[in-house]
Amino acid sequence: MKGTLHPITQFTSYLVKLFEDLGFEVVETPEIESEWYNFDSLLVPQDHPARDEQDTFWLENNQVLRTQTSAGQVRSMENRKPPVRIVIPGRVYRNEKTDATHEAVFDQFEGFAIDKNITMSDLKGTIEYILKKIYGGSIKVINRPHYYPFVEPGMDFDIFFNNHWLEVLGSGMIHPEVLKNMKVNSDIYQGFAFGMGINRLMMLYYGISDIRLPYQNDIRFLKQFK
Amino acid sequence: MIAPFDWINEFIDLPINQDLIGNAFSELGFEVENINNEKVEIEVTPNRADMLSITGIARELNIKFSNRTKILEKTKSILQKSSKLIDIKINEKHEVINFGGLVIKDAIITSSPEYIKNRLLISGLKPINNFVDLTNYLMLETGQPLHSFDLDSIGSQLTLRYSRAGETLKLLDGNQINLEDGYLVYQSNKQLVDLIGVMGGMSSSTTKSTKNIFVQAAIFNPSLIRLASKSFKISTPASYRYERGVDENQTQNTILKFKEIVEKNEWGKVEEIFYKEYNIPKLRNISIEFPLVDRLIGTKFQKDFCIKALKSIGCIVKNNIISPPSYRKDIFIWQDLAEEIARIYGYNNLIVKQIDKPKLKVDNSYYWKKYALKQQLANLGFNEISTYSFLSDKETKIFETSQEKLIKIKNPLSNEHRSLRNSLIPLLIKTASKNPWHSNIMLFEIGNIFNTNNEIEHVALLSYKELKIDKELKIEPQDKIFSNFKIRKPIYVYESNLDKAYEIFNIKNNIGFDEPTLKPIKFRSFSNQYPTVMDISIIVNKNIEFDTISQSLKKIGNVFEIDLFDKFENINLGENNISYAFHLVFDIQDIDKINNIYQKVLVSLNNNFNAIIR
Repeated sequence: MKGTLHPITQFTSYLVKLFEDLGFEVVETPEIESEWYNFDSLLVPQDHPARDEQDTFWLENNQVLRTQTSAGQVRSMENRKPPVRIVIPGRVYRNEKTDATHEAVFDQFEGFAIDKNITMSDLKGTIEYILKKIYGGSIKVINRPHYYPFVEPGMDFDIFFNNHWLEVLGSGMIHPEVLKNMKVNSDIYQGFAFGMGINRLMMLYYGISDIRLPYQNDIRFLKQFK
Repeated sequence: MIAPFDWINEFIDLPINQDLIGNAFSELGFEVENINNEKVEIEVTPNRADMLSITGIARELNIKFSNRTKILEKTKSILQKSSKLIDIKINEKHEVINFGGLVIKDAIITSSPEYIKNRLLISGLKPINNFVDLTNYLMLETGQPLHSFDLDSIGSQLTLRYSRAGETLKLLDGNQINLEDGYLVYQSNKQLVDLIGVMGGMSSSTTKSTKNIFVQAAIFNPSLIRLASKSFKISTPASYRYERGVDENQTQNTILKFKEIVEKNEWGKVEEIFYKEYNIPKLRNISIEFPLVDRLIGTKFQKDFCIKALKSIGCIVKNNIISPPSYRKDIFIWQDLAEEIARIYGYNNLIVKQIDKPKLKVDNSYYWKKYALKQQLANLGFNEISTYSFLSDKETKIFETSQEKLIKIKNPLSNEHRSLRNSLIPLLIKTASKNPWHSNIMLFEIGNIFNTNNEIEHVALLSYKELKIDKELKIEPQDKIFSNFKIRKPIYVYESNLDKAYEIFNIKNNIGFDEPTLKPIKFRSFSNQYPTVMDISIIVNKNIEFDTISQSLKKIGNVFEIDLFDKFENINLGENNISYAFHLVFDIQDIDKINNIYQKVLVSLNNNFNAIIR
């Protein structure tokens, strides 16, 4: 009798497939990261208030458990040159008390594309395409300006779901300083980046209301995703 | 940031319709967390310190409702440069952006007028007395933090300097802090009286018996205030604003407004007001090429529109040189201006275009090989789980070796979560023991394990029956090192790296796999009690699919799950027959009800499928 794949695996691999068809390469980067990759290379230095938004688990030698898969942006560009299209799925960590809407461990899905002619229009179109693939072609999608230190401009995506507008994804055009950290010439190249919380997208999709369920591994939970 | 509407409306005439206001905020990039007749609560990201004030919010809304403004020109007034009544020594001038204040004699300490008390309460601050309230009130209105000192308790003398290691300060909230070198403090009468920008000292606070007051309105180096706030784990509305950046052009306005309100209410004699600039940031000149904006955003903007948009957010435009206003401390490069142009244009009006499809297929075979292994394990009956990456000390001991050092977390969630996992097996066993009702449990997990300076992806398996893998481990309930898991029956576990697992399960490079899809499943929640499980074994005609039986039985209701765990055919069953064995899983605890449903299931099996119950 067949077992089931964890819903996070199912959701992630489905996304990988969608992005692969659009020419994105999958890269997996470490969960233990240096402060540089997780924060500084993304323009969140120690004395920046944006640091406070992510409660961090600290290890020895100023290493951290990555708080975001964006930590893989600069790292994955160390042995690549543009044009590139990359997705980075993986587990991230936040030092938060857990409840129905907060988890200390969850999965994100990062992606970015760099070329001479990648624009915010490509970002909008690509993400809209993905969201419609997941939630159906008639789903309504809107954008809002939002701030992330490592993109400029920054943009959020909301979908209209169960009678509410819900924020599902953060994104933007890669900040020229981040391109510089990737050793990419920002006068020639530009690109978009996005990051989504797999757990949240998955919970919306299946109608799961407690973020802790995926890690509690109750057989009654797992078996539903046959 | 919470903003009462009657307050914002002092500066801009907003429409009545809340949806219009909500949409305006959203389109401008401020998520509305709450909105009602009385107030709006918006999320302010760390780059937009200017939105931490009522006037800032009014100014921003003015972009959308531009014919409705009642604001907001900077009042130019020439104030004396320093106090004649207080002896203020500023030792660290380079940490000061501007500095001013008021001296009020014969102050009457009373309670605030209703409108001030109300607005503070709505904004989440507690009214205390008229002077403390007014400092808070004007901070909320203009964004300029103020601090009031009891003039007599500081002996009309203050020295602004760096703290020194070993000094102590008793704060307003009663806590005493031990300082290191280099924080900004005030000293008066040989003692410290204020952790500047963060919190005042107990000894110099304004109380019922205060007679004379000094109100400070100043701005300091934001990094230094952030450092103090972080080090002492104190965040106040003042420090929150300071570290994000206060508009130096609001300081004088705030002093004048303070004077006006004190005099109007006759709360005392404003003896002097003063203001001096020390290190005012220079006007930023950003050179912009408008075609680059089009190239980045992917939408063609008219140059006139761009200029109008930049002016609407307060920029000075001189040809291609743009100077952002003093309150926009987040605009430095032309890309920041591009965002402003796109924001004013409306993100939802930008052109939408899907990224061009690539000519060549990308090679993600490494990823898909791992996926194929997962699928293979699921096909063999293993359920994939996903557990935390943390273990307790006890759990890490099980597989600890002398060569490999554990990786410890300096600030763990709890003692149970002190180390990063050095094996997947402990939580695999824990998962099995948390599902004791599931008799034939089979689980696997793929995830990283951590040791010394390494993280390696592993796969681990657990089964109620032998795995038939070389070097698998049999765990008995009586095994001491596994005793905390409280398992009831022997289980078999195995763990290896991915390459070894590929070998064992014969997963080749570029192996085929079922393409991942999303199944439109509606999740069903369940109780936090263990379910009741009853096993049934039947013989039916082999043309009957188990799915058909399962669907039919689910209609009886109250059966949470029907889980087939065995099927076989053989001669003894009869040539056309098949045997199915399955669990009926009930997520209810009422035994009579369960028995009742069980009986109905038996009847249904008999009547609808002609089943022989074994």
